[in-house]
Amino acid sequence: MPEPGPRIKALETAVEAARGHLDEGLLADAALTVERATGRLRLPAEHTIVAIAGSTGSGKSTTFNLLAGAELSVSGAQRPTTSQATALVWSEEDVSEILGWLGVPPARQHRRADLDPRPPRHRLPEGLVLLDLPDHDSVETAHHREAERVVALADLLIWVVDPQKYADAAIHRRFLRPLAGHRDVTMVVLNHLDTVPEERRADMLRDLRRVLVADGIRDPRILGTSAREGLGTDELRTAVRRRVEERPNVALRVEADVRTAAGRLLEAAGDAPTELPPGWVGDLERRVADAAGVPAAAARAERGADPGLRVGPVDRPAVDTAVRAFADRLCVDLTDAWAAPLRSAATRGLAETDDRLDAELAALRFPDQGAGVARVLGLARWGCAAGAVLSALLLLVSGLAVVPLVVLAAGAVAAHLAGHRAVTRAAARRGAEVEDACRAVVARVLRAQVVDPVRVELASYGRFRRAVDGAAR
Amino acid sequence: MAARYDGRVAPYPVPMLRTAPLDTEIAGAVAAMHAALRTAALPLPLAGMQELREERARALEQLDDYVLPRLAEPDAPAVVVVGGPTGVGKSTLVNTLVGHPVTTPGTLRPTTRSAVLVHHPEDAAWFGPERLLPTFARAGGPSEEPHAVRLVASERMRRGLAVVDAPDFDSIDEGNRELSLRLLAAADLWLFVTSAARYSDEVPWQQLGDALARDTPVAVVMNRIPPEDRATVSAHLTRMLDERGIGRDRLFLVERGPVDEDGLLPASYAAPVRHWLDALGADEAARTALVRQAVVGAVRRSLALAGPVAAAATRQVAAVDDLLTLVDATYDAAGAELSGRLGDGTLLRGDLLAQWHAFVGRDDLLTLPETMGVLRTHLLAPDAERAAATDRLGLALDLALETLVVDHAERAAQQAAEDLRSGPHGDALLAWSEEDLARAGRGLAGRARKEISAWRRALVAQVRAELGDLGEVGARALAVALVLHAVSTPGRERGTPELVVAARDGVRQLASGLLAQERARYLRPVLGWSLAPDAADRLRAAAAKAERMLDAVGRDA
Repeated sequence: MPEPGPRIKALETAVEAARGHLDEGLLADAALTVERATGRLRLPAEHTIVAIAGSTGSGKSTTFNLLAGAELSVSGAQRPTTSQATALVWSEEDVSEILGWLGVPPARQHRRADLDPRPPRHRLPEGLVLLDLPDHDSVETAHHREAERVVALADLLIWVVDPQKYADAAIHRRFLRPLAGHRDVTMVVLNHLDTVPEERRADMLRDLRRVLVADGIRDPRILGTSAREGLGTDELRTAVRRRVEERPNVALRVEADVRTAAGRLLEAAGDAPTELPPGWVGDLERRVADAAGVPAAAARAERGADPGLRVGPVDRPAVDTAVRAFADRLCVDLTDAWAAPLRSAATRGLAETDDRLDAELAALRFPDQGAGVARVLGLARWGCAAGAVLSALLLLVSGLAVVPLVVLAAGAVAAHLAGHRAVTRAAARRGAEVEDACRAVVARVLRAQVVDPVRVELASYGRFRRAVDGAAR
Repeated sequence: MAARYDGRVAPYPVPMLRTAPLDTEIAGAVAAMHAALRTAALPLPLAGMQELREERARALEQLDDYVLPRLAEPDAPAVVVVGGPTGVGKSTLVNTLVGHPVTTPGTLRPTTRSAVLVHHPEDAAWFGPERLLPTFARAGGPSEEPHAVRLVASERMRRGLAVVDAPDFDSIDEGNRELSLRLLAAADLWLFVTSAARYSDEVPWQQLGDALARDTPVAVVMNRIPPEDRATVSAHLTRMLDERGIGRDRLFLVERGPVDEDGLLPASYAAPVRHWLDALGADEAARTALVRQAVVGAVRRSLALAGPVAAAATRQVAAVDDLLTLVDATYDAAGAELSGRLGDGTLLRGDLLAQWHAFVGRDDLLTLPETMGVLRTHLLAPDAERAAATDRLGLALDLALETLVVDHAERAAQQAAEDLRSGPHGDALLAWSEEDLARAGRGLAGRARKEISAWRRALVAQVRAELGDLGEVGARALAVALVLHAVSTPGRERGTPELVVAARDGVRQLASGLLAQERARYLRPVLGWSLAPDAADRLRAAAAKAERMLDAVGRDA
């Protein structure tokens, strides 16, 4: 079990990185998770806080008393009964700090040592802080708030349900579904089993499992009990003991909280690459260069025809469309939280982008030297060709000095061919120079107007994303 | 064990009302109000609208499910709906009341999935199709068809009274919840069943509060009381009921008892409830008064909504006006700009310009006669390469036009969205559409492609018809040349050739048509809402009339 500290830190960072992007309420919830987790970790981990929660009348207090072996919590027929949490501490150490953090009033704090008669030490695991919570579904809405508050703080949760109420919407919607990721620190007890005919009990437990699985809890821990008849209480006590003694419950609870909170943040933000994937900027530059007519200008330069070569103006709709497509591709799986600023960063200055492209491309000058050299080379080349023809004629007519004339003719042909290659190469170089110069302008303008602003927003998303991934890992 | 009929439970107290029939005039007024309430359109998610819509939906549902059929059949049997949370033994209670198993109680939650209506055989006709509860699906047999009502005739029921075993309204099964709440709203009397374990649950008390608020007659049964707790819980429940104005004469206590294999408690357990229902069935005046109370309560509930709904409908009309004005302005401006762009040479840039230069073999701009000359020399006898170059040129023109239109549509949509967001209803206006109104329509590019190529084909045909000596390839090239010339010159100077004018008009029409379809994205849903500016007034008038009639009945009584 890794330390939960870095995870909490990561969630805190994620909350900060998401400010201004995600819903304030959502961020406040996540910040509260950070605060609770930090608060819990500051307190000693050798004490385990186990909360017994449930509906009114399901037998929370009876279960509590049964585990304690003493009548601590008032249980009664009149509903609802418990209005504030009651605590039983199974430890000799001073736990006032924990109880203060939990907000259990002094009158409702009990210690094993205070009980009369004092129960055997081994009845419950050492270090246990057992809480009996108010109900969450009665007409007394103050109870709900108190129950919700303490449920959020306890390390281990025991939900007590009963045959009448186990499928109530109240408990499933409000608690079990949102806490579906807390399976490791959750136990569900089906109490009042004595009111169900014996042959139907197994079916009912199976049905409860079905309902819990439908809540999203995979393989829920379920126990059937009857607090009134003492049915299953030994098993419950053993289960609690093993859970408390064998598992790092504090870390498990904190981890489940942080993970759930991080999952919600991620869901609200959506998914995107945190850096521009390789090739995307190149694609954009190519499309914009096409829209500026760069390939055509390069081809013209290659033909060597135009001494006053100008590039542009750009096809503005085509540039705008290319930039929008670039942003859309980035935002495909993002929610508006980051998609809106990203898109705005890309398209905010579109008119200015077009203007700058036009101005800077128009300012490009392409010196004509390449073309002059090519002309001289071309003349020399045809001179060589003429020499070769002349040599061949002389050879035919005179029949003299065969060897030197053959050498001369061959040399002239070779020079002509070499000249052709040089001319072609020079033309290609001129084309490439124009193309490079234009592309450099396009790249520069796009970087300043589109790519850099997008990177700024992407970096903000990246900070958030790395932190959330760290928290949800 | 004997039933503990503790003497405090008396028959439902009935004020002596003259049994004025719920006459057809009231039915007419209520039907008119129902229609006016339904037709007041509340399409935009303005503040508070969601709640109002839901409340209206529930009120309309109750008028349909209960009030209108009941007004049409004031003498039909009174319907007692047995309702409550899951697991309090509603089905067991109904079976015991009827005296034989009509519904299957169970231990797995939720149990009752379809409702069961038990009536006397001679009352069967009242529950035929189109009579009482006409809007509820009827389940055929005991096959547990979910979320429907199954009719069961039983000699043990008294004539003039029918009992419905409703599903629970608080379980995780949404369908149960919905059916149950609808049935409760259709009750002449709600027999609210709770249990010793349940009586302080929040959800049932909320439902009870709602029922009391709309004046539905209510009686309460506390079921499954452990004998040893009887005193405590009954005292507490009585106190809770007192606080809500439900007298103890309408509270019945039923202890937890042995259930036989048919799912029945010993008859004595439910005897007080049974006696009370029998007395009610026998007393026609009491029944009529009960029905009247429920009907008047339900109608008043709808009346209370008329004012807020009318005000909201007025706000809706104003908001939609704002929306359309703003959208019109934005798209008019976008259309004007697009039209300008189609005359200033913007189109002839980038790839299209390159293709054109390659095609004519010259890099400078040509006048139209020069162009014609070049084309003639090139195209009198086109080879395959020329034909391919002509195709490329045509496609470049199509793409440039498509891009131009989509770009303007994108900018118009963004502008409209920004303007809307800065207005008072902005977000609401943008939220109703399934499309992202901040972007151009999803189908725009495809539609533009199709229309542009169709338009260009038509232009080629026109060119061929007028200049017959050009071949197909020549006509295509000339058509492009005409368009390029048209979009590079702003006006119609004297002497502009007819075909250039046709090309210019054609391309502008095409572009503005495409943009108009973008604007229609805002208009289309609005037309579907059938917003009527006078809907609010009609609703107020209908509500006032219905109210006058109810008051008149109240005075008569």
